[in-house]
Order: sequence, then C-alpha cells, then structure tokens
Amino acid sequence: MPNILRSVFVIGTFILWLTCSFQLLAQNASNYLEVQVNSGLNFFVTEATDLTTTHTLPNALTLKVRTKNSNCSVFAKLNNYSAPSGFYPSSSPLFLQWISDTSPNAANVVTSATSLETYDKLLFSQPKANRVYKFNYNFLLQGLSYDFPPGNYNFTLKFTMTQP
Amino acid sequence: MILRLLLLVFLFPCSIAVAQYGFSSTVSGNINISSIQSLTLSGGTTIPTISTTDDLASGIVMSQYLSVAVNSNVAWTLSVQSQNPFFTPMTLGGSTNMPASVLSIKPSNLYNYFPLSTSSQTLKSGSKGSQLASGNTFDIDIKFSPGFTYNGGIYTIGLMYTLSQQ
Repeated sequence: MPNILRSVFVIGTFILWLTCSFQLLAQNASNYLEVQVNSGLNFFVTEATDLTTTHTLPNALTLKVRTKNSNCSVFAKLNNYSAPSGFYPSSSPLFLQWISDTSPNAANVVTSATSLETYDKLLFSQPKANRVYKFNYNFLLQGLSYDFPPGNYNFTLKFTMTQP
Repeated sequence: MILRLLLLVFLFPCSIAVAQYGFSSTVSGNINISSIQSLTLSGGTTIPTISTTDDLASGIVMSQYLSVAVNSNVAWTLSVQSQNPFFTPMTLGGSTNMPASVLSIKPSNLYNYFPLSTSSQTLKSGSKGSQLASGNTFDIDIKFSPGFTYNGGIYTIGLMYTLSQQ
C-alpha cells in the first residue's frame, strides 16, 4: 500500500510539474512586451536655443503588447543614468508622449507627455486579448537649462509589462 | 505523512498561479550637450561729452554705461580689449595719438578701473547658469580721462568683449 501511494505521489508530481511548465511556456509565447526603437534615442544640444526649447524625436518608440492570459499594465522608467561630473538634474528632462495605438480597449492610457523617472510610471493597461497591439510614442527632451554641463549623458529606459 | 506530501504537491501550482508575471525590455540612448555660451550687451550707445576743463582734468565717469547678461553652461570669463591702440579722430584736426588707455572700465560693483589696451583683460568671471543666476547679469562703468594733451574733436574706438570658458 505505501508503494502504491508513493507511485501516486511521483506520478502526480510529474503531471503537475508538466502542467506548470506548459503554463510558463505559454506565458512566454503568448504574453510579451516588445520595444521597437524606430529612430535612435539620441539628442544633440549644440546651440543656445537648444537649451530652452523642446526636442522631439517623432514616433521614436513603438511598444508591442500581447497579453493573452490576463490583463496587463505597462510601465516605463529611467533605469540607468550617467552624466558628466556626476551632475544629476533636479528633474528628468526625458519624456514619453503617446501618439496613437491600435488597441480598441486600452485603459488608463497616459496621453499627455509623461516624464521618465527612476521609478515605474504607468503608460497604459491592456485587457487580455489574443493579438498584438501597438502603442506609438514620441520621445522628448525638454527642461534643459544652462545648469546642464557639457558632455555625454547616457541613459537606459526600462519598459515592464506586468500581469496580475 | 504521504498525504501531507500530496497536499504540498497540490499547493505548489497554486503558488505559481498567484505569482505576478513581469516582462521587461530596455533601450538605451544618449544626450550630447556642447559647451554653450551667449552674451547680451545692452546700452553703451551714449557718447560721453567733455565740455569743461574740469572734465578734462578729472575725467568723466559714466556709471552703468553697459548692461551685460551671460548665459553659459560652463564657468565663464568675460574679457575686453580695444581693437586699435589709438582712438580714431572723426573730425578734422583731431589727434591721432590718443591711446586707448584714456578709457578705463570696471564692473559697477568694483572700485578700481583698469585702462584699456589691445591686450585682452579679464573684466569678470562667473559660474555656469542662465543670466538669472547670481552674478551673471551686471553693469559696467567707464571712465574717460584724456587730459589736456589732445585736440578737441569727435573720436571713436572699437571695443571687443570676449566670453570664454574658464
């Protein structure tokens, strides 16, 4: 009798492990966030007026979302940042500005220009659907001033899709 | 014991089911900012007139003759020099040997004037920032002291202000 129970336990464990594995694979195959860079995310500030005007990289980014299993939320943040002489601005000069999307039912879409900070900021929520939706964004540089020393400022943006 | 293990096995997928899935992607970019400086001069159009012997003897001062505004994203230095070693007479009979040094200059908040020459001299230094930053907007006084050596007339001389990085 104990042998029968042991066999049931082993087989049951294997079946459950297999089920979970398929579930994880399904998450990867049918649920994803892809960030497409349509133009280089590079700004060149060379003139006095460049410090006082907004620079726009039109349609710089497209977020492709597929969320088959459940609803999702997509966030953006300034992941890494380096500046000359350790300079750190009091506020972020980088912004995302929603242009358009192909989703018929996206919710909480932040349509105004939103600054990229060092913490996640919600861009939109997408109800579950078995197809890919595109969200297009301008990339903006604004709010520079003469306090920004010359040099190279490197940054990395991180986009995250979460499912409950 | 075995039943407990079975219970544990059945609970295991449940813990996965309530976990939050996250999908992330990163992209990189760059901002390249050049050294940027701008200089705005206002005023300086009034022509000082010397009409008395007292003016010739002690010279005349024009306070706040020129207003200067500096915008710079680097620490800056403003220098000034005359474009010629001598004033150029604009009227007949004027002297051609009146040196630039009869004209002196200083920031309004300082006490001592320094005579001009064709050599560049530092007028003021400051920190990076817009013209609204402390010390980036200021006035300049000039003093004209020709003495009795030179003939009467109208004279001209060019001054060159240079804004540079410290």
